[in-house]
Amino acid sequence: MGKIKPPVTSTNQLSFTGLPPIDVPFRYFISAPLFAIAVALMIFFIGDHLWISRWQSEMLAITHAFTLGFIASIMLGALFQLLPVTAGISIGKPRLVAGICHSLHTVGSVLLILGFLLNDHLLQRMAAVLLALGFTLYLSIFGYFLFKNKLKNNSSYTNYTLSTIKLALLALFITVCLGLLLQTRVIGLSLIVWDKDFTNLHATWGLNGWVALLIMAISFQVLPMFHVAPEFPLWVKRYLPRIVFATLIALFAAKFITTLYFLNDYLHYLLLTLNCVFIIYLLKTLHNRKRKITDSTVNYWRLGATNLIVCSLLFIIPEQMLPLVILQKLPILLAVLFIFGYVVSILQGMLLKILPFLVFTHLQQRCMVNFSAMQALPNMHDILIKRHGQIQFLLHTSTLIILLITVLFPQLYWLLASLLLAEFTWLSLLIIKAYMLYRQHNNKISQLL
Amino acid sequence: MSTIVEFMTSKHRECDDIFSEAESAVAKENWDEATIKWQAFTDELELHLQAEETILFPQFEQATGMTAGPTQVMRMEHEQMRALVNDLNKDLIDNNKISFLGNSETLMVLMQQHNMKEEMMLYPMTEQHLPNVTEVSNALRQHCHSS
Repeated sequence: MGKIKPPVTSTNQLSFTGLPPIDVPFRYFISAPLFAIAVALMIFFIGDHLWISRWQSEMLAITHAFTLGFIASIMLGALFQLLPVTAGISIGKPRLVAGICHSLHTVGSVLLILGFLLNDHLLQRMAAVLLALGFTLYLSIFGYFLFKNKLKNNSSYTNYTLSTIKLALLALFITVCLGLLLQTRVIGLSLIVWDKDFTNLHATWGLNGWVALLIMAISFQVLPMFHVAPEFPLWVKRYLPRIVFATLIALFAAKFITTLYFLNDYLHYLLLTLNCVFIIYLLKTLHNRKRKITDSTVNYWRLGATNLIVCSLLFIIPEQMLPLVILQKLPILLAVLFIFGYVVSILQGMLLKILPFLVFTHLQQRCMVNFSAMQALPNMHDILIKRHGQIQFLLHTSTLIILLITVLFPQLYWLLASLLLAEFTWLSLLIIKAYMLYRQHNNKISQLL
Repeated sequence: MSTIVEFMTSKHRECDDIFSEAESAVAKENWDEATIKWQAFTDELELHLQAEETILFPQFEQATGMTAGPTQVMRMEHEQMRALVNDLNKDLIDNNKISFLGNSETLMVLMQQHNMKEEMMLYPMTEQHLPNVTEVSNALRQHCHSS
C-alpha cells in the first residue's frame, strides 16, 4: 500500500538541542525559596494577630508570597524545561525570554507583597503593571510556540501531559486577568464589583486550575518515568483535566447568572471531588510502582495526597459538626492544607527529582561530543545527596504540623517562623549546591573536550 | 500484529521492570538475587540496543537519508548506557550498595529520557517512513527473543 511520507520536520530532530540553558529554570528555582524565607520573617515580625482572618492585608501579602513568589516561580521556570523534555517543544531565545519574564515576575511580586503589607496603593499599582507585562509576555510566547508545534506536529500520538499543560496555561491566563481586575480598584477604576466571590474565583482558578492542572500534567509523565509505575488510566488523562476546566468555567456561570448562584457551593464540592479522584488514582499508581526503593519524593506525594483528602473532608463536613476552634479558622485551615500541605509538598518532592535530573541531563548532553568526558559526570546522588532530601522532607513535615497548630493557637507563631526559615534556607542551599556542582563539572568537561 | 512503536515500547517497560527488581534486591542487600536479576536486565538491555543498532536504525537511515541525525544521537546514548552498566557491574561485584544505587538512579534517568525520545519521536517517525513496517517489526521481535 502506497504511503505518503510526511516531511521530516525540525520539531522531530530528536536531539536535546531544544533544552534551554540550565540557568533559565535555575534563576526561577533560586529566587523562589527567597519568597518563603520572606514569609518566615513576616510571620515573625507581624506576630500573633496575623491569624485572625484571611482578609487582612498582611495575610494577603503572605498568601501571594507563597502562591506568586514560591509556587508560580517554580512552575514558570520548570515549564521552560518540561516542554522540550516531554513534548519536544522548545521556546525560542529562552535566555532573553526568561530574563525579561523572570525579572518582571520577581520585581512585580515583591512590589505586590510590599503593597499589601504596607497598604500602599502606589506599590500595588506598579506591581499590577509589572506582573501584567510579565505574564502577558510569558503566556504569549508559550502560546505562540505551542500553536506553532500544533501546526507542525503530524504524529498520531496523543500527549496528555501536553494537552493538560495547555489547559493549565489557559487557567493561568484567567487567574491573572481576574487578579488584575481585582487590582483595578486601587486606581479607582473598579471594573468589577470587589467582593469575596471574585476573590474566591481568582483563588480557585489559580489553585484548582493553573496549579492543580499542572500537577496532573506532570504526574502523568513523571510517575511512570521516575518510579516505573503503571500509566494513569486513559480516561483520567483524557477527561479529568477537561472536566476540571469545564467546572471552573461553570463557576463563572454561577457567579453571573443569578438563578444559577445556588450551584456555586456544589461546583466547589465537585472541584475538590475531582482533585480527590485524581489523587486516589495517583496513590494507586504509586502503590503499584515497580521501583520500591526509599525515596523522599514518594513520601512527598503521599503527604500531599493526605493533605488534599483531609482538606476535602474538612470542606464537606457540615459546619455544625466541627468544633468551634476549627470552625472559626476554617477558611485559613483549608487554604493551609491545600497550598502548603498539598501543592508545596508536591512541588518540593518534584524539585528533589528535577534538580539532579536537570544537572545530569545538561552535563550528559555535553559528553555526547566526546565520550571520554563521561568520566567527569557526577551520579544522581552526588548531585542531591539522599539524606539531604530526607532532611528537607522532615523539615517540611514539621513546619506543616506547626503551621496547622499555629492557625488554631497563634501564640506559636515564633516557632512556625523559625521552622519556615530553616526549611526554605535548607531548600535554597540544596538548589544552589546543585547549580554550583553543575558549573564545577561543566568546567571539568570543558577541559576534557 | 503489534507495530514497531507498541513492540519496542513494551520492551522498554520490560527492561524497566527487571531493572527495578535488581535495584530493589541491591537496596535490601540481597546480593545473590541482585546478581541474577542484574544479569537478566543487562542481557535484555543489550538485545534491545543491538536490535535498534543493527535493524531499526539502518532501516530508518535508509528510508530517510538521515545518517547523522537522530540515530547518531541514539547510538551515542547507547554507548553512555553501556558505560554506566559497566560501572554498575563493578559496584555489584564489590557489593557496593551506595555506589550502585547512585549509579542505578543515574542509568534510570538516562534510559527514561532516551526512551521518551524514541517512543514519542523516533519510533513513530520510523513507522511513517518505512515501506516494510511489518517485516522490520518481525525482525526486531525475532532478535529480541533470540536469547
